[in-house]
Amino acid sequence: MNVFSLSLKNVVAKPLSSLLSVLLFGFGVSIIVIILLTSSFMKNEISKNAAGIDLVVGAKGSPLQIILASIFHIDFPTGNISLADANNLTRNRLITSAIPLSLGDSYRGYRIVGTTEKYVELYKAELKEGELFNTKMTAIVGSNVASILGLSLGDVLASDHGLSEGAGDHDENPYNVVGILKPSGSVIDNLVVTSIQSVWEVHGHDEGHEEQHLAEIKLEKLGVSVTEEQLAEEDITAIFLKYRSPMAAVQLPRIVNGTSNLQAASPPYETARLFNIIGVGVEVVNILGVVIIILSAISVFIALINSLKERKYELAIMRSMGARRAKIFVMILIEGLILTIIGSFFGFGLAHFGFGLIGVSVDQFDASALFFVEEEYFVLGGSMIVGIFASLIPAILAYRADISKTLAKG
Amino acid sequence: MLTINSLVHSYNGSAKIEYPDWQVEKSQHSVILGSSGSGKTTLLHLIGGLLQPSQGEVCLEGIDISKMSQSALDRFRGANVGIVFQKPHLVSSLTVIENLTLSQYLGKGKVDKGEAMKMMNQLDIRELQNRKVHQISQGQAQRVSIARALLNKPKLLLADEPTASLDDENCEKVIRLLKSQAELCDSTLIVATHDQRIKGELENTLVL
Repeated sequence: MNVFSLSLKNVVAKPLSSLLSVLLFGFGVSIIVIILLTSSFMKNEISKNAAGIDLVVGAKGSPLQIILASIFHIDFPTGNISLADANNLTRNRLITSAIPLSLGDSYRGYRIVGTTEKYVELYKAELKEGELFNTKMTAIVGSNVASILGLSLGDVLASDHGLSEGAGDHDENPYNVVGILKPSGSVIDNLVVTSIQSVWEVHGHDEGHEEQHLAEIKLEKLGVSVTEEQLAEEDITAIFLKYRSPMAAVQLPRIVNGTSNLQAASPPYETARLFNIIGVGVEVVNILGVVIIILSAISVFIALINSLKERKYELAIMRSMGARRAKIFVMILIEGLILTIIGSFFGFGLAHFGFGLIGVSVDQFDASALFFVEEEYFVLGGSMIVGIFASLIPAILAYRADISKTLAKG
Repeated sequence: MLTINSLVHSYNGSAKIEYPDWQVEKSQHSVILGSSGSGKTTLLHLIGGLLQPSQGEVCLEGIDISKMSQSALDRFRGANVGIVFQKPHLVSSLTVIENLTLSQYLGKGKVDKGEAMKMMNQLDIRELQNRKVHQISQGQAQRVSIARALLNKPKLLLADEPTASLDDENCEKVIRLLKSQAELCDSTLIVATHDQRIKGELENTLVL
């Protein structure tokens, strides 16, 4: 027998009231933890997907939309820019390299990205089998696309025009799957990647140029070779730029925005803006969590005070049997802590379970129940402190109780 | 063994109660008689170290407990005093045997289950050991509380109105039980009561 087992027995002796305290505390903690997990996970994802991209240039429009459409593939592009404009821009000394993107088609809901091999390198994606797209009308597919749609090497994909399913198709120009990527944890897992020429080909202006093997011009920084006619006529959706020096961060956006058709969008700036917008909602839910935790702290407090009232003779008798005041104090404190510790572990379990569930049910949200962030320690520490405060006053009351008076009355 | 000298107590400056000097020898079972409000429970608490007097001294085997610090008093009580109250007030989250071992743990710091079982045999409540407190009768609970008070072999066994709500037959039974158990444990019994029926049962009487 020791103080802890006494506290534990007292908690167990009141199963319903203890359960209520534990549940309330658990729900409060789980709301805060799940918000924490989701927002850290999203920030993590965003920084992972935007890593290595200093600036995105697209058609005039909302910079946030450009970021969402071309990096995260969740919004629609603002429009197209001409290959010639893009090429002129990339000749700027401030730019080390550029990756062109051509968006707009999809295959059964998964977006098709026309780009260069550098796009695959950007996300450090590796091939699980097959090879990279090289010849026209070949494509590689991300791991999620392959596993969910059950694609394998040699399959033929007829792309849909537009970003949603069934919006009209390009049956006459299907892609051959030549490679399947390993899971990389980035957006590329949910994409079909092909060469930019293949996308042009699909949207081909059937003018029968194929046989005329014209001399190709190599666009160094963009990493594509095109014919003079293509350079003059073709469009792309966006380009990812990499700066040569920090100076570029100041000058380039101004140069880009000064060009009539182009819009510059900085991933860190736009994602920060996005978080500011969502931030209000996150804040509200967080406050809700804190309110629930405070309510549950009050419930722990009331549960302890009530049980003290019922047990005041017991406690006085324990004192009369030789229990020191400090022992009674610690016993009550531990009772409160047992409730809050069980409550917060229940909350953490619930939050991670819920987070894992989101990961399973939303396939663009590659979350695992075992995703932990450091801030959870603060939540754990904070809830312990709340628990200590909730049990402190009852413990002090028990500590200061006048045992003689109590015993004389009963 | 117990000496009370010019003892005065007042609750936060309100009416003072002065107690007559009194002595109790070892194994001289005693009774403090008085009507309600006469301060007999207070005196019992002063003797048991639950309360500290405003003036005067309470000496148990030569040790003046009226000047002890709170925690020294707690320890002293645990080792030397067993108290039986009018109602048993057992710890409701524990079983009967756990209520006994709790007394050992709090009083002496270590648990001896064999000793607790012996005490339960002695009081004829052995078969109750694993019952929850709310599963036993009032009379059984009083036996448990007597066992609890005597378990640490205290020098003093104090009883506060143990017979107040009992009929004549049970009153006698309880007093006999307290006396015989106190003798078995080599303790000196002091009962505080307004119950005149007890007067003849105990040799040393203090009337307040």
